[in-house]
Amino acid sequence: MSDLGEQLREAFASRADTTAVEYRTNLSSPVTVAAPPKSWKPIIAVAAVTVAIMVAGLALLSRSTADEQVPATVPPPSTSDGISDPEMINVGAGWEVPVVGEPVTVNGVTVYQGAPAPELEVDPETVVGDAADLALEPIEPGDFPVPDELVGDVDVLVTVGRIGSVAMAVHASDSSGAVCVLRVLIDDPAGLWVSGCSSSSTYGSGVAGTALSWPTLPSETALVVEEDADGTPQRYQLPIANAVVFTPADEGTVLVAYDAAGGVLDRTVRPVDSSDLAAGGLAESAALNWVNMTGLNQNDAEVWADRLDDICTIPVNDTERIRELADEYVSADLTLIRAGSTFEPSADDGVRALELIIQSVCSSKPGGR
Amino acid sequence: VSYSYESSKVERGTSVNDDFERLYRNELAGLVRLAHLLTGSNVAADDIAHEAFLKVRDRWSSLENPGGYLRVVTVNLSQNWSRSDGRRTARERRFAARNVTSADGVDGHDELLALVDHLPFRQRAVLVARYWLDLPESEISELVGCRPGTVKSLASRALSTLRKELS
Repeated sequence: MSDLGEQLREAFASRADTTAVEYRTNLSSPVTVAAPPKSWKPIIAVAAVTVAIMVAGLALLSRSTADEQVPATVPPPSTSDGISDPEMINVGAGWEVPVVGEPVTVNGVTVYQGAPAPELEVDPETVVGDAADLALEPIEPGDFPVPDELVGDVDVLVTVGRIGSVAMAVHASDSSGAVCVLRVLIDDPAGLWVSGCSSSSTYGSGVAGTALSWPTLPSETALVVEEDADGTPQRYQLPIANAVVFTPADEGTVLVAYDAAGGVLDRTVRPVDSSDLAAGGLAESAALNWVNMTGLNQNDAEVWADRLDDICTIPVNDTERIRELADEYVSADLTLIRAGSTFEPSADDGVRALELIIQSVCSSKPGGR
Repeated sequence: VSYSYESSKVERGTSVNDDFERLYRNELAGLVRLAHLLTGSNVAADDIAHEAFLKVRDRWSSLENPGGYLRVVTVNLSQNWSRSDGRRTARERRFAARNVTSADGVDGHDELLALVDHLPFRQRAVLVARYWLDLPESEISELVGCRPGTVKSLASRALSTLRKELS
């Protein structure tokens, strides 16, 4: 056993020794902590934007409804632990997004934290079987790196979360009312990608991916599951700020929205336009994924053509082989890190990038998986 | 004292109430400790463990291994708690970290525990299952709800992160 393993044993035992245990005489006493504040009545209607190709896909939902109670301008009630329930904010052009807490100003932009979906009353595995979730961790508004390119053009951002080194946000600007997905490298805000805008945006270093909308996603959605063409659940994600971020998948993939009790609310086909991949070239698509996810500026098409020959023979669940390749590629590309960048790519970033490439690029490669 | 997997297997008697009471007395402490390690909050752990017992009681007649079900429910509730509100969770962890500092500081484990608390939930759960519950990979995969191969991957990522942070 490793030293670290031994340290963990001792640390866990140490904490467990401090655990206070209180036996209750009446087990039907109310239990409160495990249930999150749920007084927010989903009032949103929905719109969604799913990004298909390169790095991230996103389904956004949000629409105003007149027949539901919308306390958009009413301060949210506080719960006993001081945390506010989600409130709806209008981010422009009638788009409403649930947020929590107080906004902060970063680089002149008002940044809110997106609120999580209603808590599931069922275990996700009862709905999606053996599926794995796509890790999306919350990001505090003050930690979101607002790129200089947005200053003066964007008034409001709503954070969705982070996947590894990439921060995600839903955005709306007053000028156009655009609701977009922003992807920003956390330690290198110059690495900005904009995608899935509901209308044209005027900034950013280019649109990455094809926006596909899912305008009827129900507001009660608590879980979104990605199914393959055979109807087999592949992955799931809990929406934040009415958004989920799925990496691209094969054509025929279906996103299924579930309510908190595990009932199917709606489903929609989320095709991936492989013609875009072909137009851009598989190697270029792979390179874009790699640069975006790792910050390593390896965009040599020949290098990626060679790498794809290896990558596209690996099943996406062969984590050990993927990690081996990620280690190899990260090491090989370390000299290509962006000048002035403080971002340090890790093998984990490489693994995520390769998983993405396998799922999004290899499916379009002749003989690929 | 680690939570005993074997102790979770309950001998059923003739009285449902007696059986449930026995399960409660035997397993509550272990479950609260498990939830405490998974959430970093003793307060949340206490309620999570009791909610798990309520769920077991509701499904008592259909459960073949109430102890095992209890543990899975506890992990799921702990995960829901961690997910339910990022801001609240962060606050709870900060609160827990302060408590841990005073309680665990003598043993010098506070830094490591604080790092574990900030790992993604499934990575944290795999470490707790492996190093505190002493479960084999196959049982960890059932507990955490992932494939056996994923257990190895999650543990590897978690240990890698901890080594990096500690170095």
